[in-house]
Amino acid sequence: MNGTEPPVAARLRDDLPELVRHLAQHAADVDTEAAFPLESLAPLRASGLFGLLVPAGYGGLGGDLADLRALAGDLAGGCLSTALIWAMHCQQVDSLVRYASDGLKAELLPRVAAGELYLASVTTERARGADLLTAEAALTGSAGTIRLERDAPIVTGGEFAEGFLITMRDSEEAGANRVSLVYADRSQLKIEVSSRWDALGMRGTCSGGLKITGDLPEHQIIGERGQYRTIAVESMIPAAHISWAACWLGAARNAFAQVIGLIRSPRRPRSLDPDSPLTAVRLARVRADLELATCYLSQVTREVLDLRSRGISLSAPEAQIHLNTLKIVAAEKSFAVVNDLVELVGLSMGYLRSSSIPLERNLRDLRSASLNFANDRLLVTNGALVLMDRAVRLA
Amino acid sequence: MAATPWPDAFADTVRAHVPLLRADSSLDPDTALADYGLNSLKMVSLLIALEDQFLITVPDELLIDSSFSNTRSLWSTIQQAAAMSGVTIADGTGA
Repeated sequence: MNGTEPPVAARLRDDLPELVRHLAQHAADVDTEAAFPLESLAPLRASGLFGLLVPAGYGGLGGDLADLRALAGDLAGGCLSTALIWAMHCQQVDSLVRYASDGLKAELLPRVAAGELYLASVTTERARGADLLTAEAALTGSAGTIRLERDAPIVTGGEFAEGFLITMRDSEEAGANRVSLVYADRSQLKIEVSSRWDALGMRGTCSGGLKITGDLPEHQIIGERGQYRTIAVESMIPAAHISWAACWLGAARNAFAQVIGLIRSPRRPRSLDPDSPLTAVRLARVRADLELATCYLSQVTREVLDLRSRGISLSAPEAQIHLNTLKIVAAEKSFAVVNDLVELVGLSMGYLRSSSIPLERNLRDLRSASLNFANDRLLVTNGALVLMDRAVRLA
Repeated sequence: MAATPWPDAFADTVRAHVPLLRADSSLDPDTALADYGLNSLKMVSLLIALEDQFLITVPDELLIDSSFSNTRSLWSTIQQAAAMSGVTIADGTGA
């Protein structure tokens, strides 16, 4: 546990172990079949967790990013694919809550809170790759109607989502940086699956490609037209980096807990000697990695909540550096932790799919962390941003 | 506010960092620099080029989004930084 537990997460504390067990029971099948975890998500919908970030006035749990951080970490210990799907849904909810018009919020948020509206994010684009802040495909249409045609190579949960938040270039005349965020209900769209998700890890996220076409009322544009950058900086990026980091570090922490359990049991492999200084040093280093990265996650979450509560933008270089560093470090450390644990427990417990602890799956899943919005891209950005922070304001 | 005149050398440096401004188009003071193709990497490069050019230091507190929103705000930021650095920059005549 790190620091004081946020209030909504604390209220759910009693129900959480059962949910995590439920996720863990299905995790192996979800991975083997590369199946979207419908059964695992059902109790999350029923428990109100799909509305974690929906204000109580709309029927939600009224949680904040600290609650998201705490709960994502625990759920990821059961099934990382399921936790990440849920966390990404919550990222979309944060953007709706903060930037949708009152009318759109009244339409959508009660459905989200009731667990009836699972939201997926469409930001990738075949022509352009993963640059979050630009778009090629342009909104067209007239007289209060917008038309979108979108070819997105990676959409987590896209085949199963009931609603989508989609980035589009604002018009055919607009530059690639003039991006608008649009809400679309599944019922408003023609959706063609353009590629399947058969990946090394995170197999349950079913992040295949979609071709999306639809005509929508103009009021489904979220925030000001062409100003998606503001939503990205103030909501999408902080919610994503905090909740991804929480998921990855939560999965790594659970893997560590399982290895400790193994060492403390008669099931431990003969090669794993609890009295060996090598074992002790490896365990201590893994613990140190988890401590530091998790502490940074808590600190950056506090910083975001503090700035939000004071109405201060997150666009300052140091805030962006902290959020990017969090994503980079959490991705690196969570994978390194599981990789070290595989080394520690050896071939039979660490590398085989039949092992009683799922290190092999954790390792494959967490290999995606540095690629899921590429660390290299964020490092290049941070390398530039640090030159704009002469005072070196650390988190 | 009246259009702020700036030296040609300032405009040349800005032009060198905004790939979407055509060579035969004028540098409009109020067009968003992002619309001219200035991203966060090019923004830092432009900042350093201007600091070198005018021998000034732009303090961290001026490095907010609005300082780089368009050429007018950028010029105003550079003038402010020059004043804070005790440097005089000639206006409008090609310093």
